[in-house]
Amino acid sequence: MIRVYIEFMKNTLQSNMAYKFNAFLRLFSKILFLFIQIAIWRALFKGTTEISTNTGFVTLSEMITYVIVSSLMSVIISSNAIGRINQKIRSGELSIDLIRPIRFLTYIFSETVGNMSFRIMFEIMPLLILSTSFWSISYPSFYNSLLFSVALVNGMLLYFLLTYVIGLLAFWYLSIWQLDRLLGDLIRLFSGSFIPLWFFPKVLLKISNVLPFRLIYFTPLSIYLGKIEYTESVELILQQWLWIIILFITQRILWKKGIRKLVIQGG
Amino acid sequence: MKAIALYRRFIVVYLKTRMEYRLTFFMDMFMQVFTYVISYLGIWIILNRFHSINGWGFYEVVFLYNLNLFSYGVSGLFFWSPMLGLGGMVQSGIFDSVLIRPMNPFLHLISRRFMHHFLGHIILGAIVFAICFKNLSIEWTISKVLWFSIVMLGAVLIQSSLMIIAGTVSFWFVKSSSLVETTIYGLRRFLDYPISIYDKWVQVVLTFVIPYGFVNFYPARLFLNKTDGLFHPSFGYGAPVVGLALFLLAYRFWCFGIKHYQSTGS
Repeated sequence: MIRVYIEFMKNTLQSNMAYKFNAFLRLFSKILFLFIQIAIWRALFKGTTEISTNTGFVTLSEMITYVIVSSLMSVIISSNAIGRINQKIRSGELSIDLIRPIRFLTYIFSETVGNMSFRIMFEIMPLLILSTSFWSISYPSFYNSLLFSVALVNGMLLYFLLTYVIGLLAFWYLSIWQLDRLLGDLIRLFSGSFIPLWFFPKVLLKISNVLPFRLIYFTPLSIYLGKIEYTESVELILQQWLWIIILFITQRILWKKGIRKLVIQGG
Repeated sequence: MKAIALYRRFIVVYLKTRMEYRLTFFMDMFMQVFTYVISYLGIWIILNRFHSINGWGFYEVVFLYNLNLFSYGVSGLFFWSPMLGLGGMVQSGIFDSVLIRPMNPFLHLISRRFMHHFLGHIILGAIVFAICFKNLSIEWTISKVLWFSIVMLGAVLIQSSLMIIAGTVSFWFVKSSSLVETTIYGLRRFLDYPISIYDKWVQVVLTFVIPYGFVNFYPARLFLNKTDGLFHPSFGYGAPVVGLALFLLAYRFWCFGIKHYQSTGS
């Protein structure tokens, strides 16, 4: 059974080789964006070495590390599930997938992992090499790197499940790209991938704490920079798991309902 | 002029078809607007915490950003689809049908589609300008108002030129329209904050090579009486001139690209 999933992963990997050019483009625009972000933080920090945040202090070099690691993370934290599921439902391919002895969730997930492996090989290494040659980043302590890895994997799973759940809404909603974009915008702001939550005003911080998005980027990044105590790190990782479970259950419910709708409609 | 009347008819027909899908019409605009609302929230978060960047306060940065947004919206209304959808049109053969017609292909393409999505940009931009003007102390004389309109026109010309050039390049390399779009989006991001935050050579590139600086930074500097950045404040007056020159260049380039297409007789 596992071999079948591995075959899917390999397939996706191979077809990705054809998109080397797009990978180069993504790399190029990521470097460009890093350049812009670092210039912004440099200008904001002008004259001061440390800025106080709602949880302590942060220096310019920490912000630079934050921004670069966030960029590296964005290579892994990506998913095309929404588009894929929508395409399968609209084209009717889904009916074929239902016959396969493979769970749809795992199938889409294998594709995502395949895409990710390609990106890890061709995007993370060059991005890391380029960014460390232009700027310097700091590295976490041993325990923090362990916690970071766990939080990172959780963040990736969390993001995948979010896109998967939204993708399943394609059973009911036609213009799913709008939700895709909406999700993307919300994540852009509330995940802390661009602006760390340390700088958020109270109002937005309250909203952010209710949403799961900060657990995708801000939590791993805070752990990486050693900005939070071990106990709090563990607590946040538990919160990640909680959301993963919630989303997993949600997806099961949506899937059952969606399939029923499809079958009734004779899709 | 016949061309204007013709254009108006095109637009009316186009809008009528779109309004039939009324919900989608408004959702399209809403989605565009929502993205920018999030962007403005981002600016608010940063400037609420840091108070200023290179001497630019919150409403000044919003003004800067909005100049970019608004001119982009107006340009996109006319030029986005014809220019960046060119690759697809070539592949589907629609482009050939455009070339056959006895109308200037450039004008025809522009009137074929009116990207109403960008109306959202424009409405949002107008609202934000109103908010900015209330909170910035600019003395509005008649000459200043006139000048603002001219500068805006220049900014629109610059944005349009870059869209046209991008469209022409993607037209040659049909598969890589993504390269061009990436470049446009990527470079426009440089304008989110005053370009004086960048190294000298970046400012030079943004002034003389790809003159995006004239879209928002130099005009804003003039209106807000700022003194940062490499070059003389009089650069603020450059927008319309640069815009016009660039537009002519872009049009030339586009015509050259079309001629090349015809001669290869695809």
